Order: sequence, then C-alpha cells, then structure tokens
Amino acid sequence: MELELRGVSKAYDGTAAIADVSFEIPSGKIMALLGPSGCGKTTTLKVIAGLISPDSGSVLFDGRDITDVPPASRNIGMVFQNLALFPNLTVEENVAFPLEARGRDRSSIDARVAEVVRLVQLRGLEKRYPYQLSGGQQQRVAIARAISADARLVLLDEPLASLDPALRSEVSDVIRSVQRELNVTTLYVTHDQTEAVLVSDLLAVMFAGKLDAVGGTREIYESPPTEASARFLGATNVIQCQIESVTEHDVSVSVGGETLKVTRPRWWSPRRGTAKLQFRPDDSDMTEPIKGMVRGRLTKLMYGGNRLVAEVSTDLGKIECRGNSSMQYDLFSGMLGKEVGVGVDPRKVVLF
Amino acid sequence: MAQRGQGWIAVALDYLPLVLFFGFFYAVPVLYVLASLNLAELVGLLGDPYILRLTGATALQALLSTIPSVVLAMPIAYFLSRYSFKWSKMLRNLLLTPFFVPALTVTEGMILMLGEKGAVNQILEVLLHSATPVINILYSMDAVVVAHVFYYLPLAVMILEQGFSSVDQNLIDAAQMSGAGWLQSFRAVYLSQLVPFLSASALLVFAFSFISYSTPILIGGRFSTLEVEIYSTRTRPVSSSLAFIQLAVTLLLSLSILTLRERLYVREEAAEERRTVLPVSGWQSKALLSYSLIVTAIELFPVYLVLAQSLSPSTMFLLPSSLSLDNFASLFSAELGFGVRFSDVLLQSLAISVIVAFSSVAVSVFLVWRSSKNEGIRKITGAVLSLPLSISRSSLALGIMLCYGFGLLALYGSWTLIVIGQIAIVVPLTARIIEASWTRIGTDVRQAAELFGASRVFTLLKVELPLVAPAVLASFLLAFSSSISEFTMANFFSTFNLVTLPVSVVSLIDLRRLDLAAALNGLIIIIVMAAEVASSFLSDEALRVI
Repeated sequence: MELELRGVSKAYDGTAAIADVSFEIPSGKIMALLGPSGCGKTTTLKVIAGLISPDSGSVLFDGRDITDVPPASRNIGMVFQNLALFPNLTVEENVAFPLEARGRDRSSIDARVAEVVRLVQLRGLEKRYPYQLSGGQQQRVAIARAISADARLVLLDEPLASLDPALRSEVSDVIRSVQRELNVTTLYVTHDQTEAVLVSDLLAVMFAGKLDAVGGTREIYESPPTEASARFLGATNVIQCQIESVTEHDVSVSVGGETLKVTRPRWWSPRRGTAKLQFRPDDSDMTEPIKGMVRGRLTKLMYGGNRLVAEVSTDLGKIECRGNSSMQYDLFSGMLGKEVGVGVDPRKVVLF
Repeated sequence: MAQRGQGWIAVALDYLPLVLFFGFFYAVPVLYVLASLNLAELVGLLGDPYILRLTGATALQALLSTIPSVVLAMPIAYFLSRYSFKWSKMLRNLLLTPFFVPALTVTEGMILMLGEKGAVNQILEVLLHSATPVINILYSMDAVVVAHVFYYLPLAVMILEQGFSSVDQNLIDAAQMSGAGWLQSFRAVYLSQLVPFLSASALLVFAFSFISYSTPILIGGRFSTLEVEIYSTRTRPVSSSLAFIQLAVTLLLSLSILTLRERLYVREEAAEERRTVLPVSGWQSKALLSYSLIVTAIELFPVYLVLAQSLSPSTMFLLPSSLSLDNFASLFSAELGFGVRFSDVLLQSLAISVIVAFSSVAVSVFLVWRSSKNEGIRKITGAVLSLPLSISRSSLALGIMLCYGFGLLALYGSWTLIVIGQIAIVVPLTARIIEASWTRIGTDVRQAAELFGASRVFTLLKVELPLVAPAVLASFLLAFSSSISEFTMANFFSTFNLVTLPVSVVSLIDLRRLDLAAALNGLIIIIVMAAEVASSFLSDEALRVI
C-alpha cells in the first residue's frame, strides 16, 4: 500500500508541532523519519495512525483520503516507543489481540499467531508474560503484534531507543527481515542517524516540525540538500568556496586558491559567487601540503582503535579528517603542529 | 479520535456518567434543600443569637481540635519521615489505627476513659487519694475536642510526614555546611516547604471536626454543632436553612482543601526519589522515638479500652477483671430496637454494605472508564469527586431525605435510602483508588488497543479491568468497611426496624449498656480492620484516599 501525506499541520496551544508535512512512501518500501527529539516525528506518526487529528492537510492510503477514518479502521500496525505491550496478556495473547479485536475466528487466529511468532523468532516463549522477557524479546512481541492482523502499513516509533547497543543490531535485523518477507510499507521513526540509514530505503529528515530533506537513503546521506541535514546525518566539514563555472554535470569551485571540479548535486540550483562546500571526514584524507585541496596545520591527532581522527586548522576554518588504520597514526604522529594538505574525493563533495 | 466535527457528541457522552452521578447523588438533593428554603427565615437565622452561638461554638471546637492535633503530630511526622528502625512500620500502623477504626469506637473509648468511673479517674483517684471523680469533662465540648484530637492526630501525622519527606535532605546538609545551626536550618529549609502541608493538615482536621456528627451526639452533652442541629431539626423547615449555612461553609472548606491538594501532589512526586532515612542514634532521635511511642500508646488507649470492655464485664486499673465472650453472647439475646434482634441487625448491615460496595465500585469503574480517554474530563471528574470529601453529610442526608425519601421517590423507611446516602459518600473514595490505578495503565497501551481495532468495551474487558483488578477489589473492601461503620446516613434513615450496627452501638450507649456497645464495636473493628488491611495489601492507593 502506498502512503501519502499532503500538507499536514498540527499545532498545540498555538505552537506548531508539525507544519505542512508532505511525503510519499511507495508500496513495500521502508522510510526512516529522522530528526532530533521534539521535532514532530511522533506527532506525524500519530496523525498517520489516526490517534491525533491534524489541523489541516490529508493522509492518503493508495490515493484514498483516510484523514477522518478512525484508527481502528485503518488497519495499521504500530510499535510504540515504550512498546505498550498489554502487561496482563501473554506473548501469544498480545499477538492475537488485533485479530480478536477484529473478530477473527479462533482457528485462523491460532494459525496466524503461530506464523507470526515464528517470523519474529519467539517460538517457545508464547506462554510468557511481557515482564518475563528481555528487552529484545519484548521488542519482537511488539513487532509481532503490529503485523499479526495483516496490517497494510507498519509504524515504528523509536523501536530501538530503549535497547542496549548490542541488542539494537539484532532487533533491527528482525525488523528488516520481517519487512522484506511481508513486503509491508513501513515508516520508521528515529533520532539515530546510523539506525535510520541502516534500516531504510527512503529517508526523511525533520527539524522543528518541518521536513528538511526527503529522498532515497543513500542519496540523502551522500548528497544532503541542506547544511542542517548534512550535519544531522553525521560529522561533516563545511567550508566557504567560490563558484567559477557550471556545466551540466560538473561545477568548478575555487577553494583557498585551488580549483576543484566537483559533481553537480541534483538539488543544487546553479548560481555564481560564494557557496558552501560540504564533505564528510570519511571522504577526506591528509596529504603532503603540495597535493592537498586546502593547506593547514595539523592541530589534533586522536587514536580511535580502528580509526584515526585528525583536525587541521586552515584559513577557512577547522577541518576534520578520518583515516582508518593505526598505520596512519604512526605516519602522522610526527607531523603534529606541521603543515599538511587535505585532499577530498570530488564526487563526494556537496554544494549549498 | 480522528473524526473532525463530530467529536463533541463523543465528548458529551463521556461527560454523561459524571453529570448523572453528581446530579442524582448531590445536585438534586441539594436543590431540594434550596427549594425548601424560606428566605425570610434564613435572613432571620443569620442574625439569630442562638444560631450565631451555635456556628461560633462549632467553629471554636473545630479550631481547638485542630491546633493540638497538628502541633502534637509534628514531632512524630518528622521522626517517621527521617528515621528508620526495626519496628518503624509497626509504629506507623499502630499510630494510624485510631483513624482507621470507626469514629464510634474512639467515642465509646472516650466514655470508658473520661467517664466518672472511667480509666483516667480510677488512676487519678488512687494517685491523689480522692474519693470523688477528679476530672469531669465527659458530655461537654471539652470531651468532643479531646476525642477529635485522638481521632485526627494520626491524619495530621500522615499528611505532615509526606511534607517532611518532600524536603530535600541535601538542602539541610547545605544549610548546615554553610554554618547554620540545627534550629536555623530547620527554620530556613523546613518551615518554608512545610507550609502547604501544615495548611492542608490543619484545614482537613478543621473541616472534619466542623462536620463531626457522632462524637458531639454521644459525648457532647448539651454542647451541639450545626451538623447535629440539622439532624435534630430534620422534620422542621428550619433544618433547610441550617443545612444551607452548613453547606456554604463546608463547600468553602472543601474548595480550599482541593486547591491545596493540587500543590501537594506535585511536591510528593518530586519527593519520592530523594528521600533519605537515618538510623535512630543520638539523643535527638531517641527523644523523638520516646515521644512517638508515648503518643502512640495514648492514642491506642481508647481502642484498647473498648476491646477490653468487650471481653470483660468491667475493667480495673486498665486491666479487664476477667476474660470472657459473654458480652458477645449477650448480643444475640439483646433487643436492639423494637423487636429487632442482633442477628437481624447484623444481616441488615452486611446486606446494605455489600450492596453499597458493589454499587459504588460499579459506579466508580464506569465513571473512571468514561473519563479515562480525555485528560480534560479526567481532571474535572477528579475535582468534582474531591469536593464531597468534607461536605456536610447531615445537609446531604437532609437533601436525600427531602428528595428521595419524600419528594421524588417516597423511599422513606426503606433500606434503599441508606444505600443511596452511603453510595454518595463512598464513590468519591472508591473512584479515586480505581482512578489512581487506571492512570498507571498509560495512554500508549490504550492507544495501542484502539489502533489494533479494539472497541472501548473490548479494551475495558480484555486489558483495563484485568489491570486494575487489585484496585477494584481494594476499593470494594474499603467501600464495604466505610459502609458498615457509617453512621450519619444510617442514623438519618434508620427506622424502628431498620437498624445498622453503628446505629445499634449508639442506642446501646444511650441505654448505658457499654458492655454490649463495646462488644458490638469490637465486632465492627474486626470487620473494618480486616477489610482495610486486605485493601491496603491490594492497593497502595487505598491508604492515600484521604
């Protein structure tokens, strides 16, 4: 099922929680809605679920406006932030709840519960109560309950937030595999960019109630349309540059006296003059001064196990570079305080 | 709910149970009181010296009951909040006992304690070599005040203990590290933070003493209060005017308590995390422990005297002369009204209390359920149900009598009237216990049920009721114990052959059959304490309803 939001807004006491939010999730895809705490992610989710009524705008399932349809009739499965498992019901009773509430017959309920319990790998725990389960197991019960009644859309509200780092990848694997197996359209809300990028086909970044970026996950990560999204998606360097010339595929920019030919970003509208150039520390490296795009002094070098973090002070500001081996640490530790160059892969550079 | 435009119908339906409950049990009876008011008479009453004296005396005894209750409670509350020792929980439970036994028990205890041949005089006559009673305060305002202090000191301890616990121990440490002495830091830190709790405890003790009913009837002698006067004049029109005055005063008191309570809850929640308890060592804590033990022993004295009396024909120097169950046996042969046997009274009382408990719990569950989905309705329901806490019961009983006893339903003489009156009193308590438990279910769980296609009834039966079952059972037991020891409504609506246990206790005391009254009181204590202890095991909220 395809989900579409058109210009959805909701305010509380005159303050906008979300404003003019529009996006689409094609059938069978999983979109991550990413943003800091309090940016309106959960409000968006609850509007889609029908638990909150929007002030304006509409929600469409397969092109049909369901804005005024009560939650129970939307056939949505949801994993709540604090799970909201029914504490008085066992695992199988929790999973059966949506089926019983919709009046399915006993034999089809039993068959479906068994199938879903197998899918989320909870076999053998059917008779346990939520309090008898680990955090990861509880999470799987919540996922099983969300999908048991053949939901057309699954909403996940910060599903990994309460889990230990070790459990997160295990549960996110379950989410991904269940979503693929059922091919169910899914919206995944999170404030963790690593989690968002790992799990989703599509990515929407939200700040202060407004969507800042929407698109394919890789596209948004590698070529974010705004500086705010770029920063939220991970450590980044932003420096001033001058636009020199623009072609259909490339842009020539001057950075600190050097000319660099970079791939023209899809959302970038051509213009002359000053612009901002963004690249990730992972896509840059330190070189001899003569080879670098920018020159500066190596001011900080940190050993981080399997990676190396370096800070270079340049006329354009501080630039962070990351290497990926301890060998580089040995190589550069003698350079501390001396002049180095910073090189960057022109295909990984973004202009704002 | 997502539907735009038709939401108000759903909201109106959610308000309906509250409107029906409040309307039937409170608004309509009070309207009947107002309708039977004679304005000229009311205006005349307001200038009448007797009424002014009565109101003044009622307020004075309430004030005199309040000051010692709060002052004497403070050191104990401080001790319980700061120090812990092996038996501290036991000490707290024993101290609170007088408040949780029926008021009638404490009142009969007062007669056994303060009477001419009472325990206090027995001791004083020996100590002072006197041949005549040394103190003679029974059947006066003084006796009423002493009884109130006995009854309400535990209540003041409960509230003030929460107050002391809400003070951050770090602030005391900070004050003392800045060079402030014990007294200085107490003044700087405690007093400012304690004011709301002091006001709340004082207001509650004042309000409860103001509407006290059985105590002035039994040991007030010629001293009377507005509450008693409404009962005495219930068959005359003047009663409505008195009820109007009493309702106005008690409504004002209830509103003040309600406003204060909002502030206390916020502080209590903040206090939960930072409570630190110290062991008893050093002279200060030992002195406080000794004081607390002495006050607790004195507090338990009236209850002990009643129990001792129930098991013995007489007591001498605080000890029963001999132990037997004769008094209980005699109950079965005694006549407690016109041709009414003890077994009839027991059965009538139990039946009424079971009906009251069932109905109150059902009404409470319905009220809480309908208000649970909307925060606005939940708050209004909470506020409306808190209002009757210290409202004049005599005035409400008068309204119920005028309206359902004679006016609308003509039920006078039927047990139904006692049931209606007691449900009105009990529902605010039971609804609060159930509501506190219901709130803990969490909005998300309810929203999950709704999202997964469950109707409200399905969610109620499958999720909400099973989760609040312990609180429902606790509130049933509390409703049962409140009803079986309730006196005001029962006394208003009892007739020659419709008698409850507490009404019989009062008749027996009037007939000077203190032995039988004690046996009956002993029986009520056993039933009430068993129900309350079981109730507090099931739900923490049961103890916090006050």
